[in-house]
Amino acid sequence: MTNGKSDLKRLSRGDTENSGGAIWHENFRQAINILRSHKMRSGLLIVGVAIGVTTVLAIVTVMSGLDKRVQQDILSVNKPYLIVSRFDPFAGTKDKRDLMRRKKLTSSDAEAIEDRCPTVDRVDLQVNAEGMMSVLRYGNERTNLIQVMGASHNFGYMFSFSIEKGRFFTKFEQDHKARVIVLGYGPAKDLFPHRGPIGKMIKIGTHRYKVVGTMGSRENIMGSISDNYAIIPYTIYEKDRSSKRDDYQIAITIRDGFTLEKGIEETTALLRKRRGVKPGEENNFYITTSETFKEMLGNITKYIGLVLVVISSIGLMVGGIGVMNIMLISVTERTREVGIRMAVGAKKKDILQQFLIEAVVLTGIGGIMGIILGMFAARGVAMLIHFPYSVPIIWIIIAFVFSSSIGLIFGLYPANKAAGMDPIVALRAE
Amino acid sequence: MLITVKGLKKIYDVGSQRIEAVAGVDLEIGKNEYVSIMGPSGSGKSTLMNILGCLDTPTEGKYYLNGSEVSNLDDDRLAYIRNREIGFVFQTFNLLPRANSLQNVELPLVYAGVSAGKRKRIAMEVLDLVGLVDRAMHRPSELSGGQRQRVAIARALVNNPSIILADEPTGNLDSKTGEELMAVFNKIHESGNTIIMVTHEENVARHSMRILRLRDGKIESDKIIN
Ligand SMILES: Nc1ncnc2c1ncn2[C@@H]1O[C@H](COP(=O)(O)OP(=O)(O)OP(=O)(O)O)[C@@H](O)[C@H]1O
Ligand SMILES: [Mg+2]
Repeated sequence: MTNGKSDLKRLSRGDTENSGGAIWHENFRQAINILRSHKMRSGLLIVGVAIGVTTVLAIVTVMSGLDKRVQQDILSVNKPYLIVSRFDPFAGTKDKRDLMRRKKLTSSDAEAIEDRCPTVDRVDLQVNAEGMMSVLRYGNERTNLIQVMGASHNFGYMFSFSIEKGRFFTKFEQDHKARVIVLGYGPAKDLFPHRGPIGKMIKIGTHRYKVVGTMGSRENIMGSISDNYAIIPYTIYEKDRSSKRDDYQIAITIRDGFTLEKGIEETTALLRKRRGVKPGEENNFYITTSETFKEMLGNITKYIGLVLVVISSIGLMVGGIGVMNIMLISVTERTREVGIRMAVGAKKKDILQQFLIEAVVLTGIGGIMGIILGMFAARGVAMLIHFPYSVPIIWIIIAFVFSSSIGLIFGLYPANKAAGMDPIVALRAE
Repeated sequence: MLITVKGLKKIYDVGSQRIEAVAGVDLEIGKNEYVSIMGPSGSGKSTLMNILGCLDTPTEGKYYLNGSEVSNLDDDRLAYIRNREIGFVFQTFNLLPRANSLQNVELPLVYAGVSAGKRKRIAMEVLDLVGLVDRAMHRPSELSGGQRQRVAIARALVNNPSIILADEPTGNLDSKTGEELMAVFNKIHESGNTIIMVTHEENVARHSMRILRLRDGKIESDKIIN
């Protein structure tokens, strides 16, 4: 017997200088135990948090996909470019009537820019009449109302619209006002469901155009709307279709080695002269770059995204209140356990840690499940509305950290309550 | 002296009433003593034990354990002393219901920061001491009352404390099981431990060396019997 005692003494001494690792481990094990012995309520809580995380993650994923899609779609461009128009398309409606009175840009403006600005690489002139839609016919087939725009041969080079069949029209065709047309994916399908379109003559009103090429689908988020267009040389556009509502836009790429700013400077100077702007007067045209456009679109999607994330975070907060509720129940139920642990030497911080770990484990598991579900959900949505599926890794980390923090934040009050118990009172609890 | 208590008071204010649960106790207990505390219900036995066990702090007076004052320590220091110096055995066992015997016995070692392997070795050794090695994997609900109390004793012993405090350890047991348990306490005492035990039963108290009788929070008598 005396031996046993001295054995105890020997074993206990020297072991006790250890760090808190043992307590961490015990607290973690305890959290898993509790989770197992209260499957139902732990499960419900985990599902709640998981749903919250799923929505946040799905929304973020969809938004970032949308952002990419918008950049790809609307700005299908090979190189950064300048765009010259009569006025800022995003100007307030109040000024619009004044702005509409400004002189139109012309093809000779475009030619002058190409000829006289040394930094300018290529120039594309686009013209279309807002709201003027046309029907294209081939034999008995006809399209819906689509947008027919005029452009220069550079359009095909400057914007990365993929040619599906045939080719874009040439400078020769443009200069000779050839009646040639490049069909967007929509009209190409409508008019030539079973035949090859190249070389066929289609009709717009009374004019006949030869199809030289068709475009690939842009699988746009807006469905096929943005596939419903056709492009003809601006020269023939001016001859066949010119109207009061025509609006010209000049797109300019800059030679390698020059900045967009330099291009803006040169173009501005030239256009001020051509359009008779006196020194000190405001420009009567508007130049922007693809970069600012991109940025602006990025901002729009960012704000929409932010609003959605805030809304779905409210869902997560509800989950947090659930955590608090369950942890409060758990603490009350286990008052006596807390008393026992304190009686054998648990410090306040050990008890605090125990309940915090429990809460964080619960929400952390919910977070992981939510991340997995969210990725599936996002994938589903991405497939449904045709855009690139991408889960930003940073958001997976944020989702996990966020859901765990919810456990930490909402677990703090109940855990504090447990840690603040008086051991005697706690031991007496039923 | 292992324990020195001077002018110890514990006063409760319940509404307008002032209850002196412990009303001025002076006491000295030496190493390897085996003391029984007796007295009528409400005489302050448990209150005194809780203070001696550092679960509670006195309203007035001084308490020296191993020569250093513990009556004015903060919660964390008290927890440390409970962990290293005190082994408490309760009337109602107070085992963790979801943990098995081994895990219950290991608990003080967990808070002492002992690694899992060593914890298990020491805990099994102490379970052997109380004759429960074959019940190591049983939960409290799968044990008899006597077995539960032996697990609780093993837990009290596991950190090799200076004092074992037992508040009516046989109170929830029949007399035969109570006697078996007293054999365990005797064994522990023989191996050099200090034991302070509250009991209502003379049969239990006669195992000890010294009997303290409390009345109205004061020591009424203090006799050496063995
Ligand atoms: N938390 C408290 N608040 C107010 N009064 C208390 C409190 N704890 C104990 N008392 C009072 O202090 C006195 C002593 O109680 P204590 O529990 O120490 O008695 P005891 O001797 O252990 O009795 P028993 O033999 O019934 O266990 C009692 O009158 C009790 O009502
Ligand atoms: Mg009592």
